[in-house]
Amino acid sequence: MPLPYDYVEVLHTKRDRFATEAAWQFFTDQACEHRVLPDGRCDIILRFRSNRTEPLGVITPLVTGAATRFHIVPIAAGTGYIGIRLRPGAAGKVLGIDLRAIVNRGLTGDAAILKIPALKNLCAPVSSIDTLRSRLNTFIDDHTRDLTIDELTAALMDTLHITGGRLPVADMAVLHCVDVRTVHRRIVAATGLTPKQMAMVIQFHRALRLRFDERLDIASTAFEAGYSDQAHMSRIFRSMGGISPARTPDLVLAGLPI
Amino acid sequence: MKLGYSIIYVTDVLATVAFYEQAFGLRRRFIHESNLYAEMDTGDTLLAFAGEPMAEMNGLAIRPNRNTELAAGFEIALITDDPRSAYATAVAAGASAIKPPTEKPWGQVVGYVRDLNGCLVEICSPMGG
Repeated sequence: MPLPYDYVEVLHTKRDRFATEAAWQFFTDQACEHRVLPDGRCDIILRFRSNRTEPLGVITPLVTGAATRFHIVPIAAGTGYIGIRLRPGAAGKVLGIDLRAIVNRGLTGDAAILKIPALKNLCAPVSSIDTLRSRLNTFIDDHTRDLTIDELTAALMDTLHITGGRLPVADMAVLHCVDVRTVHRRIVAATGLTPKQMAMVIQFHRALRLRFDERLDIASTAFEAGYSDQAHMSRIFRSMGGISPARTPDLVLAGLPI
Repeated sequence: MKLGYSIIYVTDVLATVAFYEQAFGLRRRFIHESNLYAEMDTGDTLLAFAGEPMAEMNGLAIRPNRNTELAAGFEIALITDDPRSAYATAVAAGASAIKPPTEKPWGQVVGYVRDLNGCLVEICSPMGG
C-alpha cells in the first residue's frame, strides 16, 4: 500500500528493543491529510514546526491509543513528527495509564502532560531533531528499566498475529491452557482492546496485504482472510479503513508491524 | 513438479531440531542465524522447521501445532529397519506415545508418536521390508 512520501519507519525486533516496535518520523512542506488505519498500538509522538533539521518553536506531545477505526489527521505545512510505537505489554508500563482510557482517541499537548507528566520533559527546546530523538529514546529506556516481559501476554499477542486474527478467543485460551477471562484480561491490559477487537484489527491488516500488496482478487482475499463473504469484508474495510476493497487506497499509514 | 520440502511451523525451531535429533536420530543440515528456520538432513525431500513468526512474514495465517491440542491432519513418516526400537527411543526422548508399532496386513510395521509440538510422526519399516 502506498505510504506517504517522507514517512520513514525503522522497525524494532523484540531482540533489538522489547518495549518498542518502531521508530518513525515524518515531515511535510505542504498541508495534507493522513488516513491512519487502526493497528492496535499506542504511539508517543512529538509534533513541531520544522525546517527538517531542527524543531522550531513549541514541541507538542501526543499519545495515541489503540484504535478500531481509521482516523483522518490534518497536517499543516512545515510540520515535523517523530514517534515511537510501543509494543503491547510495554505500552501500559511506559505510559503509566489504563490503556482502555485512550482507545480510539489521542491525548494532545496539555491533556497528554496532565495524564503523563513526564512527557513535559520531552518538550523542552532542543537544537536538533536527532537530539530530540535521543531524548525520546532515553524517555522510553527510563520508563522500561524495570520492565519484566510477561511471557503469556507476549505469547497471546503472537498467537493473534500467527493466526491472522482468525482463531476464536476460546480456542486461544485452550491453546495456551488458560481460561477465556485470562486471555481477555491480558490482551486488554496490553492494548486497551478486547481480544476480539484486536483479532479484527489483525484480520483487517492481513486482508489489506492480501488485496493490495499480493493483488489477490476480492473473493480470494475475503476467503483467505476468513470473512464470511465479500460483503462482510467490504463492510469491515469501510468501517475500519474508510476504504473499498475494489480500489487501492490513497496514501495510508498502516502501522501494523510484522 | 516434485516434492521438495515439508515445512512445519513451530514455536521453537532449535528445540524442535534437538528433539528430532534425539528422538528420531535425524541430523541437522542447516540452521539460519535468526533461529527461525532449520532443515534436517533427510535426503532429497527435506524436512524443515520454521518459527511461527515466519508464517506472518510469509503472508500466511496458521493454526499453531501444540501438544496440548488435537493433532493436525497430517503426519511425518520416518522409515527405519527397526521401528520397535526406534519407537522406544522416541518415547524415551519425550515423544508422546500414541500407537506402538504393529505389523500391518501388507507386512509393514507401523507405529505413531506425537512430537514435542503435537505433530503426528509415523515410525515405520520400509514397504516390502
